[in-house]
Amino acid sequence: MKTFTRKMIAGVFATVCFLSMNLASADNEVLIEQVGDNLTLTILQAGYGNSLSGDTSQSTDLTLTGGSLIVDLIQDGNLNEMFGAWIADGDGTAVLDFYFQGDSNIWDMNMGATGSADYNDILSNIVGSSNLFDIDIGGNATAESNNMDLIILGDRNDFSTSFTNSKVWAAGSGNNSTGTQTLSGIVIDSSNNVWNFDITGDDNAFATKQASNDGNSMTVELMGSDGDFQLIQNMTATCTPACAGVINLDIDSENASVSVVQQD
Amino acid sequence: MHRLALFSKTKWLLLLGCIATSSINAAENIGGIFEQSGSVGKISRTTGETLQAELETDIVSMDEVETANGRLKIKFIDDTQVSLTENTYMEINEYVFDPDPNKSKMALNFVSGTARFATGGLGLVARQNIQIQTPTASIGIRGTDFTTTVDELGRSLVILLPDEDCTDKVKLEEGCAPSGSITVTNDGGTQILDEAYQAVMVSTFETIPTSPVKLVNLNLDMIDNMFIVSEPKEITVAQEEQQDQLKGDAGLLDFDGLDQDFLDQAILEEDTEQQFEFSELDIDYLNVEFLTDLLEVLSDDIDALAQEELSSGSGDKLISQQWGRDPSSQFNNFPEYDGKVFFLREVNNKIGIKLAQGSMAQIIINDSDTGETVFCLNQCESIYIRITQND
Repeated sequence: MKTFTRKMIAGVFATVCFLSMNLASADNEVLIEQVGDNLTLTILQAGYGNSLSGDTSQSTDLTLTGGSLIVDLIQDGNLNEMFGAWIADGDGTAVLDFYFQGDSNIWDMNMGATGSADYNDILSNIVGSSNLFDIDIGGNATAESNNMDLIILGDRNDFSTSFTNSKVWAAGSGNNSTGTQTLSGIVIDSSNNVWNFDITGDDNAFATKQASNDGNSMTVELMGSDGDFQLIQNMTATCTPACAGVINLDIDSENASVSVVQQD
Repeated sequence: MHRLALFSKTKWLLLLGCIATSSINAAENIGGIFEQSGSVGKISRTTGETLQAELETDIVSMDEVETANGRLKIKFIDDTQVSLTENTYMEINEYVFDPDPNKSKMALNFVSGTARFATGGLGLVARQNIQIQTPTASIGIRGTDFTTTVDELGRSLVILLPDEDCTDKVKLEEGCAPSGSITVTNDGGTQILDEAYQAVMVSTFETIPTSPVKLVNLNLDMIDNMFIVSEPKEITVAQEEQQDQLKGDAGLLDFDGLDQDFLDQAILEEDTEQQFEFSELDIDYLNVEFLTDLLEVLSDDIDALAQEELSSGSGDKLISQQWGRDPSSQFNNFPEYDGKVFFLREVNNKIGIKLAQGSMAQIIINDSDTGETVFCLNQCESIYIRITQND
């Protein structure tokens, strides 16, 4: 596990850190609305029932806007939530590290929702079961040339169901405001993204889509039984030569169902 | 079949006399066509010239020889003979003849089709200087007589033939000595053939040739049958039509097939009659046509052997699919890559799938160009992978 030594440095607008060493504590709430460059932010939420969002009603997106962001977020406990889609927009290099340890957590992130979010390096490390995830990248604006790594160790994690920021589950529809996405889960609607994920555990459901232009690649390692995975790589732009995508799939499983669609 | 007796004696003596004191280089005559049958193929020269591959046509170094619906036999000045069957393509990459055998060189590339190679018994070209290439293997010459058959995918079947005395029926039945030995080499490794009628199959240049298999079913009866198989196509068609009609409803068609003698019809009276003529002396029981037919008969067995060898490391079995590149799915299937079974399909998009060895999986590939292909690893259950890959 990575050692976190970075100190929280106040950014342009606001940085909030809640640190609780009492694992029995509950219902800590962190509200973030941050605009500006060169933010270094570390948040450790320990306990259960904690949340990160944009307002106290938990209905507004947590906002991170700016370039050259360095964000470490750790939620250690059960029943934690990041309410509302993250709006993590920034035009410049950002390093975003997310760590979730616990069960029944909810994570909804939206990058490039209202502004471009290019050249970011995102690491998500999840240890726990029955977590729910909805990640949308490049919905309205560009989110190109990102490098995303997702490591999941646990059972019954669900990346295949989408929900809105009002906590209403919207199965079968993505969180893309263009209304063009039909896939729930992790939707990457931009080009030149490198998408690597390892999923270890049983009964995991996972769906992801890489769309838009050329240069997307996906490397997937799946270990565990009874998984249900849907991988889509859909190049929609016109390229010369034709747009090409790459999927590398490594499966060690029983009773898994994997659907791969690769089109240009 | 046209056989040129004068060409094979007088002219050869003249040629050999000429080379006794000087070496022969590119663009000089290095041999010629001394047997030809069927329709005429062509010879392409580096000068841009294209010649008809007719009887008595001279051959020079760097020629590319291609047969059409016919066969031909080339004799080089060192007495090496190469026979080409129908639709065979061979490149003479290099031929240098020198009075010193160690300075002579021969490099042939059998690109496609079936060819029989017999080194000259005079030893005028050192065998280590003879390079025979197919798309998937290099053949080292220590013997004198072998065949190669290269299919449209570049796979090569190489068969070591017995000593030429085995054309004698009695010796053939008693068993035959090999004409020597040959090595079949590529990036995957080397196999040595040192028994008559041993054969190896080479699928790709990266995969080792299969272990040599003895074509035990090869016997005189089979050769005779093969010869019957290779009778002129037109006669076969006529016979098939006759049989079909005999099986049909003569009442409806008002036709009595027994009254017809198709062999007496114009088929043999047309211009092609001459090319169908043959005498007992013209029958070469080891001719390349026989080997073409033999490949058809044995290819399944040899493919099975190759597949067995490919999968022997992991014990995994493919169902409705073959190891290596499978044309039906366009997947390249590797039984062991990085400790796993690996499937790779690369059209415009690229997908690679690694499965743990011993896994059971069903893979369905749907391509707008090739349609749907279903195959399985070990058993068609447990892991279900459906792939839609369109350009």
